[in-house]
Amino acid sequence: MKKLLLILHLLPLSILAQDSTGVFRHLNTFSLQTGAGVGKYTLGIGNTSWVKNLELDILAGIVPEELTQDENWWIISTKVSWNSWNISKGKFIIRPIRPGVNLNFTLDDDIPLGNTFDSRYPSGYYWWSPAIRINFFIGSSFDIELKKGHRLALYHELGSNDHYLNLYFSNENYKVLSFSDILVWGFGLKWYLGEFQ
Amino acid sequence: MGYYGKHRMIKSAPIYILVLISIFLGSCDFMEYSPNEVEIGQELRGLNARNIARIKNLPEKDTLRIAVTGDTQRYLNDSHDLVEDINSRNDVDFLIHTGDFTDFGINREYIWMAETFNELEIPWLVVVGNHDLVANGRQIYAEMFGEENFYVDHSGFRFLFYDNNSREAGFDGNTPDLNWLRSVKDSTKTIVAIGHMPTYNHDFDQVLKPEYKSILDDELDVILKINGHHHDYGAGILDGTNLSYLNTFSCSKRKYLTLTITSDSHSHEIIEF
Repeated sequence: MKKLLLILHLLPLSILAQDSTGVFRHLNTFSLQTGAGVGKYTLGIGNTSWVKNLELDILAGIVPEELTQDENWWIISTKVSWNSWNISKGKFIIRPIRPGVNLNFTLDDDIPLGNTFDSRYPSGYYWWSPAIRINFFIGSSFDIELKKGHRLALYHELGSNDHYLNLYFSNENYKVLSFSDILVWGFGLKWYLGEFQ
Repeated sequence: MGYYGKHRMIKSAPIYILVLISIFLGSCDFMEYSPNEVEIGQELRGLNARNIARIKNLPEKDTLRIAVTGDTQRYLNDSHDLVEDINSRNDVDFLIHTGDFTDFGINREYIWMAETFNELEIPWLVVVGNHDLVANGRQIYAEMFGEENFYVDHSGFRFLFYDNNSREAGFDGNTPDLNWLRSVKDSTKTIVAIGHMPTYNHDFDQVLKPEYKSILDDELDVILKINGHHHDYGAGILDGTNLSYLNTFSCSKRKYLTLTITSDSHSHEIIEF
């Protein structure tokens, strides 16, 4: 755990130190996450200042081969979460309800982006993209201010994706599925640089 | 990280901490790394092999009665009702599923449908369909059901189940595997062939079609070929052969077939549920 926290702490410092172009000056969050349908080991970078109360993240996660029974997959995600309200007390900030959306795609030859990109199929053969998923979630977060301008958050996200919701609502008198069947969960740590807004 | 150990944190937000711990403990079961991952519990692994063992333990009979369904895809409720209907009767020996067990070929979908069919009191076998192979479905099918090409012998019959979803294999010239079909010939048995894809569908490899039909009809002397894929009923003789075929309903049509089969005859009935 200490090593993970160290990585999380050093990652922003090393990126910012090498930021000669200024591209990274907008980045003020760095996260380490597992689950939520977007990888077992997932790293993210993000911004909290562009839009008030919205956090934007780009994440890259690995699904290891023991879970794919194939090769390792990368899942690239873009995530938006809304800090709807918070309770602040001393060094601690509680953000009980953080709804969000995660648009992600899996990079693997066997998981095509869609028919158009797969010569096996005529156009429209399968109507969905196996590689692209949209996850909807409600999360919460418990933050600690470690020192001025440095905040560490333990967060989690509980939600579902377009496929599961589709299957759930296609079988709407719920003989087989209950709502808990379609839930997906994940959690992570996030390092915030700068003052809490 | 000394902050974690300080009493003041516990004093300041005890309720939230309790809620957070409850959520964490209660949510672990929902952890998922990808919808396409392969995460099948022990109780749902190797299902075809388990059901083959059950079929082999059935008493020998001159006449078998088999329920035939397929293309269950997203229709979990209809599948549930189908299972209940078949459980309410006691004249069916086992069930054949002609493929497209799932719609998106994803892990949880396989589990939900398998849990539904596992409620059957009779043995059940699933041949692989094209939807089952989408994305990482081939690996999930392998984990849950086993080999794509397999057979079961019972009462002098041999039932062949095989992957003939040529389009999913990119028309690789080996789907269906004609060498495997030749290898399972047994002239002492009455052979029934089950593959998801009808030969008259453009998703079947038209290059392999003449040789494939010849193997089934002339070499293996198959008495019936059972398909799915079209979601609707069909029966007849394949063009240019003496080979009977039977196409099953999708279970979403709220109908299935019962096949009655002897060493030299077969008939079927449409059952509504």
